[in-house]
Amino acid sequence: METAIRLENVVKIFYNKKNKKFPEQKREIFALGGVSFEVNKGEIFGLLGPNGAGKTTTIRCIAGILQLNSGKIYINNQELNRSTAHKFRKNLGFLTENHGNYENLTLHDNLQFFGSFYTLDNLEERIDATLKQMGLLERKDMKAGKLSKGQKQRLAIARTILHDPEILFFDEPTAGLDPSASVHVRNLILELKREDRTIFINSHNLEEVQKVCDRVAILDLGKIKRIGEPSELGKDLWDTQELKCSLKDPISSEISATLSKLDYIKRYKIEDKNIIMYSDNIDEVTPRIVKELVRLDANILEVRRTVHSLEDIYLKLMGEEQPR
Amino acid sequence: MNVLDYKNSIRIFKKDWKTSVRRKEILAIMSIFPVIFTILLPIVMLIGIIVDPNAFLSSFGDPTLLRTILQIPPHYNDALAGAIVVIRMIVLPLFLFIPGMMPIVISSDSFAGEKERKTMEGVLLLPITKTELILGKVLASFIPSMVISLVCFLTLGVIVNMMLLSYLDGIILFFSDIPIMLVGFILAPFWALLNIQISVIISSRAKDMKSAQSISGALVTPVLGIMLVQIFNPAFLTISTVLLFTGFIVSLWLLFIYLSNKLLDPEKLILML
Repeated sequence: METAIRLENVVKIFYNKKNKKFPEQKREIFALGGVSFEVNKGEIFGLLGPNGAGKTTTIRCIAGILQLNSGKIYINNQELNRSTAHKFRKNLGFLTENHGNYENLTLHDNLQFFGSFYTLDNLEERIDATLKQMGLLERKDMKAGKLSKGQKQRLAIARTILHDPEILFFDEPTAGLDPSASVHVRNLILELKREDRTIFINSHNLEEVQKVCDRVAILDLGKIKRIGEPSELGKDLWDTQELKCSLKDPISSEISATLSKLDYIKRYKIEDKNIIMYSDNIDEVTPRIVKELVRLDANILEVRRTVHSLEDIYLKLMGEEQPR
Repeated sequence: MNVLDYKNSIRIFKKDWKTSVRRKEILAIMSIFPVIFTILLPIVMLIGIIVDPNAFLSSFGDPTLLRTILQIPPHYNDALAGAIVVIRMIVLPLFLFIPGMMPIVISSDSFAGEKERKTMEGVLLLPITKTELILGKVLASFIPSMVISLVCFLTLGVIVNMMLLSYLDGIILFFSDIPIMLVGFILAPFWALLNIQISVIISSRAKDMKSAQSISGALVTPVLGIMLVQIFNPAFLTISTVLLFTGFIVSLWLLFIYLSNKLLDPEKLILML
């Protein structure tokens, strides 16, 4: 698979001015402490992390507006440096955390300004098409300041995709949006993926990341804690896996006694008509457990393997820390 | 080495023209200042000449001495001689407030305004170089300021001639005076550019537009005042001194271009958001 973005041991340090009131305060802040990862072409890659983890700094480094202290960044296998970064930005689209629209310009003028920096043959047609895609065409001549929050975000997305960039960066794309606007943005991201674009999402919205991302990296205090597909991310985080069986009738003493003798079940607990069992390899033992329950004439209503959500994985990795 | 794409600077200029220059507050300042400094105050001065030309000229010192120092042609009557004195000593310094102050009002908004309105990051993420961005911002202040300055300068010349019409006797004041023309067409543009360059640096470092304006104003106004009072004494305004002073302003401007390229760091602009 081709690589769209590659970060190799990227270090970014911010320097604080000496604070006379708090001389003990750190002067060097490691925003990124040796971050390495790859984003494949055509995938949606999510960077998850709490506030201050270094997510926005990562995007700004890739955009070439922050100077790296060390490490390398490659875009389409070409090394990025700050003096030529503006050339790379021709093929990139950025949705910043603040929408960044000019509120006293119309939607058309906003798009015309941003679109004029790219070599586009038919800018006016593109403006109309993009506004239509965002459901904003009828507001084309309205001042951006008069739009609702969701519409402002859609205008910012229109700006991001107007020049048809290969790689898109979305920094907290649904932050502050109501549920229906969030769904619209998520659908749009999936639509862009179908157009074979590479999409990089920064978010602390776990549900959003789980729904749209092909792969996810968890960033905390400037370091990548884990990287992989959302479903695989937490595989080795828990020592046992969980299987829940719901029966029609209360659990009999015979079932309970049999379960206690099965050596492939590490432990189990009974909650009313449900049995929750823990094993090292739940995929392998599930058919055997079901067979055993059938042999004992148990009326099975449902067998469900508990899949750890991204939220469980995230909280586990963050050590369920207090908010910072 | 990156090649400068001037079209990118023009795009920044056009956008700034629409987003900041056309704002009511800025338009108000841009209209009030020129009216006060190049129409009302000069008219008040010139009324003094019309009322009593001889007394007016004498109030500046010995008329014969003034005529010698200022090399006023001997056939100029007292009214015209008084007008020359007023123009060189008072009206021109007042006029220079326009190319001095107008750009500060506009360029204070350039980076500080973008930061305040949270649009800075979007601009920095465009495929443009820092130099193209700075040039665009400078043009956005320079072009409107210079248009206003030139209109003011020409209006000033017309007002002088109109008010003293009955004394002219075929002589054209103001437009026939080479040092005055040099001030209007050579010194004023570079004076504006220097102020813009300083103001752009301040704007990039200030948190918001108001603080940028007050810092720029505080920095430039006294300098302007002291320099102008010193420079525009009657003996100063000759072709060579105006050119020499312009050369000094140009050198300072070039120094500040170098400094703005050094000091204006996108990283700092972003982190100050």
